[in-house]
Amino acid sequence: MLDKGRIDSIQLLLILLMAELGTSLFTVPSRVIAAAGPDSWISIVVVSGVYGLIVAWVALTLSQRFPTQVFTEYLPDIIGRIPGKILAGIFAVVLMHITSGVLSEGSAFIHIAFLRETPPLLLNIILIGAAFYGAFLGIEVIARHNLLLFAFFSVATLAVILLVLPDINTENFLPILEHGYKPALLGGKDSSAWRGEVFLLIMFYPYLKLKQEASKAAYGKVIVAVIYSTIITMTVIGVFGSVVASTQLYPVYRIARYISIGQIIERIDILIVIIWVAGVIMKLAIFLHAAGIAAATTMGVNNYRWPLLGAAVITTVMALTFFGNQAQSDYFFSNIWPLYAFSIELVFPGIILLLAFLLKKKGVSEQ
Amino acid sequence: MRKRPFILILLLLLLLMNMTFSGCWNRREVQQLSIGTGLGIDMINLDGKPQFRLSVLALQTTQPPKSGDTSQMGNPATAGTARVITSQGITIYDAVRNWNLRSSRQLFLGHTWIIVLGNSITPEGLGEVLDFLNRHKDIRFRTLVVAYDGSAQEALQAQPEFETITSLEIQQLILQNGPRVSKTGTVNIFQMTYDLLTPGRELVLPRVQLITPPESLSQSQIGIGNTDKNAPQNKVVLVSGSGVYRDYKRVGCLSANETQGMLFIKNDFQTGIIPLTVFGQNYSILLGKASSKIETEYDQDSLIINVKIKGTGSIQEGGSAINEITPEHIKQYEEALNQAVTRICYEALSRSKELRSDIFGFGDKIHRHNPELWKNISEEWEDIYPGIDVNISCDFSIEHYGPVR
Repeated sequence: MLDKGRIDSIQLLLILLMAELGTSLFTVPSRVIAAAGPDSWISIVVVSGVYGLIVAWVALTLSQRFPTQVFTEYLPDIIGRIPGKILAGIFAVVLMHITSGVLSEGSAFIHIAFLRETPPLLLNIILIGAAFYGAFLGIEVIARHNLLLFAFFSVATLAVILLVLPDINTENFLPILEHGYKPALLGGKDSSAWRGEVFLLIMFYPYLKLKQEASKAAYGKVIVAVIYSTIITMTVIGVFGSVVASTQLYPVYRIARYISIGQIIERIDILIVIIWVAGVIMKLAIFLHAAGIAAATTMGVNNYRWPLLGAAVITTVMALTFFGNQAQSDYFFSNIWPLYAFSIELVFPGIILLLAFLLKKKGVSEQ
Repeated sequence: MRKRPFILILLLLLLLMNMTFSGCWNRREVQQLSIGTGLGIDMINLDGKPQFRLSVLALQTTQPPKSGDTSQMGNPATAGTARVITSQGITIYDAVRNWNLRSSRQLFLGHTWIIVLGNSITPEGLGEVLDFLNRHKDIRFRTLVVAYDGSAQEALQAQPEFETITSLEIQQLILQNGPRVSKTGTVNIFQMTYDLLTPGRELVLPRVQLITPPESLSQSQIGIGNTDKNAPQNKVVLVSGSGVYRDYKRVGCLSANETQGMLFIKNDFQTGIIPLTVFGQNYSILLGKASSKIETEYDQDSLIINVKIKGTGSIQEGGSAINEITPEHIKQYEEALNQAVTRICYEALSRSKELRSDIFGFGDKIHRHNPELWKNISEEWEDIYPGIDVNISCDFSIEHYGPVR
């Protein structure tokens, strides 16, 4: 284990939660609403909830077989040294690719919604710089910072929802299942791709102090994420209606802009911007830490900090090459990402788990 | 000694932070901005091509004091005068940027209060307006939208009577005083987007009118150097009634009373006076918030919509204070009140049927509560709508009649 830090189960839960909600809470609602309309809650609760729990189960079972190692460490033990190292390397690159996607999403929102003339590269460097610093300091720093952030994140989200309550029109939640179950289930694919980010557990499990509490963190994360995203998505539908909401790229930012209580409490949309930036930096730090550790263990070096720097640089370059403009990243996140996420979150760890089970491979326990 | 470089780095970071205080990349200083408070959008024909004309009621935030005149400095009455400046373009944003050909200051639209749509806007043009208002990063969903039967430029040029700027006056007329009469709706950009995009709804915009103030003595604020009585600079604004659209096309308007009926049915009625004639005498009833409930009934081939309106009111003005009001009288007043409101609502209904525009959102209601039926009728809703049966019933109660008998 390269990072000597230790975290408890609540911290692990919140790390996994923030690794998803940091961006998904604001960008996913419009995708789900576009597919499922007023039935979005079915997509989120049923489809993404079940999918998330399955991913959590796979990641948990796999991690429990190798309690002291991260995924890329025991991968060569299961499938042999050479193919194991190759797959671990690919896994590290995939983690960097996902990180670059988060980075481009993070800067795109700032770029599109208000800082039009700031070059995305500059925003990318600022975001990745802060995230790198967090990951550099280690998992304990991330965990403690995350506790603080999560409190602020929740209060700000709750404030936005409460202030926009008077504008909710319950008629917007109707009709239920107008076009049958199909669109509702299909809408789940967008939500699921993000809910499955609980798979990061395979990179964070060894840091957990009390291993018997791991299931609480993994399943708890999925349930809390489902609750959060259902509430925010239904708030968006209640205020804007599914037709208008599906035309908006950042509907949560729009509802925050829409808040007006007696012409006095207005223009609090900056709250969303603050928690967006903070959440994106947190999410980046978590993914970057996982990517850096994955790269370091693959290369077999003793210090993960240099690989981490490499990962940060590669991520920044990837963010500009693979997600150069809005259309590219929009296309990626709506068409490719659901399938991509499915294979990396569920299929890949699932196959490895199956192999470990069949080959009866087991890691050393902590004692 | 080991701490030394750390402190130096910290100091350096603090210094670097200074750079970001003025913004991230570029700067927009307030003395270089011109704040657009109202936008008027018209369509004109220029060189045989339809073009947009954008009229901006722009606030000059800081006016340079005239040389030698120090008494005016910092005087709020002279700071912040607004003027209308127009520009043309093939698209709206083209016009927004062409505005810079004429103005030395950058246009800032984050504080736009109202959008005035002239009657020259074509259906395609309205679509473009909708997209522009949604896509622009500074304009907010709360910004009010109003219609004007003429060129929007004129409407913005009218004289404000109470506020310093016409756009603020229109905004306050609608937001603050509109609910006191309930004879004009409140439509912001979000509501406009919602009504235009949601199937089974139609757009209804409050209507701005220009009038020459009948009180000729009060014309203290006559436009400078303009003696033409019909010039918009010598007129004032009035917001009353509404303009009705059908599928992006302006088809007609509702009078103030018809608008009130529409508000009753749409559950948007706030407060207002209903005049009654009972026992050959006139009474004013002040209604509080009324609530309406729309239910759709469908069996075999007839579609019936039931509208139930409930609320409370009080007698504010009677034919004669000497008339003693007994419980039996109250019954009669309530009866007359119900009839009056029902009549107003039916007037609005028949007018909207005439215009074939479902301004009440009955189609939307059917869609949400009976999606199977809506699937069959949504295509021909425009033709079905004038033939549907709507039953309106009112149930108002009168709570008090003030401190006299």
